[in-house]
Amino acid sequence: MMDNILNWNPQFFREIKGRVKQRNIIIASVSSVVTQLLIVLYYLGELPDIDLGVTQRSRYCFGFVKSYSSQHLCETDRLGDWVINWQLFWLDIFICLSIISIFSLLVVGTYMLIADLTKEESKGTLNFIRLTPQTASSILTGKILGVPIMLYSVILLALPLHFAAGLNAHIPVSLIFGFYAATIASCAFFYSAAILLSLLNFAPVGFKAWLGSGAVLFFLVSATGIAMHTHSVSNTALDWLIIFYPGRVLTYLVDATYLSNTTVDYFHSNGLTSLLFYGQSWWVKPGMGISLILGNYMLWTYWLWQGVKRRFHNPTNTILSKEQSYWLTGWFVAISLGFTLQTTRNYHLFHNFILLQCFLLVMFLGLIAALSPHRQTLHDWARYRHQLGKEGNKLWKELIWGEKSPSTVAIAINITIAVVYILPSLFLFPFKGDLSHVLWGLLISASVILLYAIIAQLILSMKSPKRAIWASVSILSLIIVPFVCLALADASLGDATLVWLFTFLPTAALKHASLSTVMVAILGQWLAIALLGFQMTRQLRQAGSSETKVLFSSSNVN
Amino acid sequence: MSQQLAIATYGLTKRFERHIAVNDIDLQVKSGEVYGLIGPNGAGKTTLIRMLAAAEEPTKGEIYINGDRLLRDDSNPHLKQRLGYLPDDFPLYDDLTVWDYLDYFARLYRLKQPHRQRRIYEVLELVQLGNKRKSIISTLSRGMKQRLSLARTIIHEPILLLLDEPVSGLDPIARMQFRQIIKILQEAGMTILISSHVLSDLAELCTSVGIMELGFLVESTSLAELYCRLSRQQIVMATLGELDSLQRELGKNPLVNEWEIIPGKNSLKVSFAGGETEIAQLLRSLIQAEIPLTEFHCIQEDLETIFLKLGYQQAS
Repeated sequence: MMDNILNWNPQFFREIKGRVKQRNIIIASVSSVVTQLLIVLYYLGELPDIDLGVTQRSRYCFGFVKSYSSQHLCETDRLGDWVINWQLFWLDIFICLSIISIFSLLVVGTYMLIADLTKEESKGTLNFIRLTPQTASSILTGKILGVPIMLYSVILLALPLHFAAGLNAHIPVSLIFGFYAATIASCAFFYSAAILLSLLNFAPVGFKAWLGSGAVLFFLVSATGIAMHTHSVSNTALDWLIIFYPGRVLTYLVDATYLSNTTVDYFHSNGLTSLLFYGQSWWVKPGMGISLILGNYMLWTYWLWQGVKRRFHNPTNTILSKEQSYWLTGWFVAISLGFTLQTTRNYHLFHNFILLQCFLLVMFLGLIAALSPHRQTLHDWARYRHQLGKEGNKLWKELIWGEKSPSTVAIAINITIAVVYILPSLFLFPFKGDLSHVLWGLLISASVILLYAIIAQLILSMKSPKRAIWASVSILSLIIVPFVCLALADASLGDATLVWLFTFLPTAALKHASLSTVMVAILGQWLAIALLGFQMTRQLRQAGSSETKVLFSSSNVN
Repeated sequence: MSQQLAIATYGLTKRFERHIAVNDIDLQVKSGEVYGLIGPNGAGKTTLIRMLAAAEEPTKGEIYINGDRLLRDDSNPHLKQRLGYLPDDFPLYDDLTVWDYLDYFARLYRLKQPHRQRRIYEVLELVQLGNKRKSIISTLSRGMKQRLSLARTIIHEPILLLLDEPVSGLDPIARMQFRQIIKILQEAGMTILISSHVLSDLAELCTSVGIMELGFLVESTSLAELYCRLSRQQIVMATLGELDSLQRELGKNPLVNEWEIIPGKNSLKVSFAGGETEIAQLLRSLIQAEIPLTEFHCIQEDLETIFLKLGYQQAS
C-alpha cells in the first residue's frame, strides 16, 4: 500500500525520502507524547488535591461559586470522594489540544512550505521539476502532503487523546469529524496561500517564510481571542474574516456538550447563531454552519490555486488573468456585501459600509498586484503587440482580456463590477439621510482606487530591480500619509474635508463636505488619472518603437 | 517540413530590456544530429537553449519539437517527455542518495516498474556511477555530480538532448568520460544540441554547427560543409638542415600560399592550394633539392582556427 501511495505522487515520494529518517521520527514522537503528557498533567493539577483535607476550590467542582470567579467550591460525596465535573475536564483538554494543533499546523506548516519552496526556487531545482510532464497540482499537492510530514505525524500521534477527550466531553462524533474537516480545509487554504506567496518575487528568500508564518500567527492569535470572547459576532464584514479561523467550529462542539455558558466560559453558543448573511441566519444549525465554513474555504482555496498554477508554470505570468479577476471580484463583493448587510439599523449600516470600503480597498490592492505586468512584459507587449495579438489586434480587446497588457482598464472594469453590484443595496436598505454620502463615497473611493492602480502600473514599468517594492511603498504611503497628516494636525472629520476626500475612506468625511468640495475632489482625481494615463501611453509608445526608430531619433538629437 | 526536423524555430526572439539576446532565429536541426552551438560569451547561446527547453519564455517566435509546438504551460506533457535539458549549473538535492534522486526523476517522468529500476541501472552504468548509487549526493565530486546530472537528463530516454556547457569546469579525464557518454547517446539515436567553448570537443562530437554572435545565428551548417568551405589544407614539414633552404625551395612552388615557422621546432606549417598529385610533386621536388626532410604530413585547420578566422570574436 505504501508503494501505491509513493507511486501516486512522485513529489510526495521525494519528500518522504528526504524527511522520514529515524532521527526525525524519534524527535516527532517524543515531542508529541511529551506535549500531550504536559497538557494532561496541567489539567490534572487543576483538580482538587486528594490528600489535602482543607477547603478547596477548582474549575472542575460543582459547589458554590463566588461572583467574578470561575473557581467552584469543591465538595465530597457520601463516600468522601471529590465530586468532579469530568465532562468539563475533558472538554478543556479537547479544546486545548485543538487550539495547539491549529496553531502548529497553520503557523509551522506555512513556515515549512514557504521555506522549502523558496529554497528550491533560489537553488534552481524547481526549474527541473517544471520541465517534467507533471502538472502543477500534482507537484504542489505532493509538497503540501510531504513537506510538513513530520508535523503531521506529531498531530496524528495526538489524535487518539484528542478523540477520546472529545468523546468523554460528550461531543457528538459527527461534530468532532466536522472539526477535523474544517481543520483540513483550513490547512488547504493557508498552505495554498503559502505556496502562492513563495512563488512571488517581492521579498528576500529568507524573509518570506517569516512574513507568511508571522501573518498567519497574528491572524490566529486575533481570531482565537475574538472567537473565545462572549460577543464574538460584530455583525459587520469582519465576521467573514473570523470564519476563516477553523477554531470557529469549536463553538458548535462546546454547545453540543450542553454545559452552560457560565461553566465553560469560552466559545459561547451565541458565537455563530447570531451571524447573518444577507439577513439570513444560516449558521444556527451545526451541519449547515460547518458546510458553509467548508464552502468558504473551498471557494478561496480554488482562487488561490488558480494563481498558483499560473505562477508555477511561468513565473513571469501575472497571478491572475484579467478574465479570472472579473469573476473573483464578483465573488468577493457578493460575499463581503452579504456580511455587511447584517443589520437594518441606519447607524450600523453606515459604519458597516465604511468597513466594506476597507475590504474593497484590500481586495483591489491585491488585484492591482495580481494583474499588473512588470516592465519587461509591458515593453514586449508594446513592441510586439501587433505581431502577437490573439485578440484580433484590437487594442480594447487586448486591454480587457489580454495577458500582457497594462492592468488599468481591467481594474476599472473590476471597480465597475463592484459598484454595479453594491448600488442596488444602497437603495433597498434604509440608509436614509446617509444615502447621498454613501453614493458619493462609493464614487470617490472608486476614483482613488483607479488612481492607485495607474500609479502602481507606472512604477512597475520603472527601470529598477526593486520596482515591486517601490510600488508597494508608494501606494501604502498614499494610503497612510494623509491619515498621519490629519492626525498630526489634530483634524477632525469636519476639518480639511478636501484632504479626507483624497484618502481611501472619503465616506466618513462626506457628511461635512459641501457639494463644491466634492466636485473639486472628483475633478482633481479624474485630472490626475487622465494625466497619469497620458504619461503611461507616452511611455508605452516609446517602449514600443522599433530599434531603427530609436536609432534615428537618437541620431536626430545628436 | 517541420515534422522531419527535431528542432525548428521560426523568428525566435528574446529581449531583456531593449537588449536583444536572441534575434529572430530560424534554427533547424535534423533528427539524429549532434549540433554544436558556438559563439563568444553573451552571444545568446544559453538563452536560446533555455527557450528550447521551455525554461525561458520567448518574447516572440515559435518553437517546434518534432513538429509539435512547444509552449510554456502544462498543455504538452508528451513533449516534455521527449526533452532532456542539462544547464551549465546543475543544482541537485544534497539530502538524497544517487539512487533516490534518479528514482524521483524517473517517477516524475512517469516510468513504471520494472522498467524504472532497469532504466536507473542502465543510466548508472552509462555514467559510471553504479558503485556510488547508495552515496549521499553531497559527498560526490564535481565530475560525478555532472555525470549524475546527465543521468537525470536522460533517465526518461528523451529523443532530444539540450546540453549547455556540459564540460565546463571538468578535468581532462572527466571531459573524456563525458565525451564518450555523448558518443554512446548519439549512437543510440538521440538528437543532441550542445554548446561549448571547448571547440576540439565539438569537432570530435558534432555533425553540424551553428555560430552565434550578438544574438544572431550567423552560421548553421554541417561540419563537413564548414571544413570544405573554410578549412585550408596545410602541410607540416620538418628538416634536419637549414630552414632557409627549405623556405627557398618552397618559394619556387606557385601552389604554396604562405607558411609559418612552428616555434621551438625546426619545422614549418605550409598552406598549400594543390591536391594529392601536387602534394606528391612538391615532396619529390624537395627531395631532389636534397632537403633532409624528417616529417612531411597533411593536416586540416581545426574548428577553433576556422572560428577565429571568421572573425566572430566580439562579445555582445
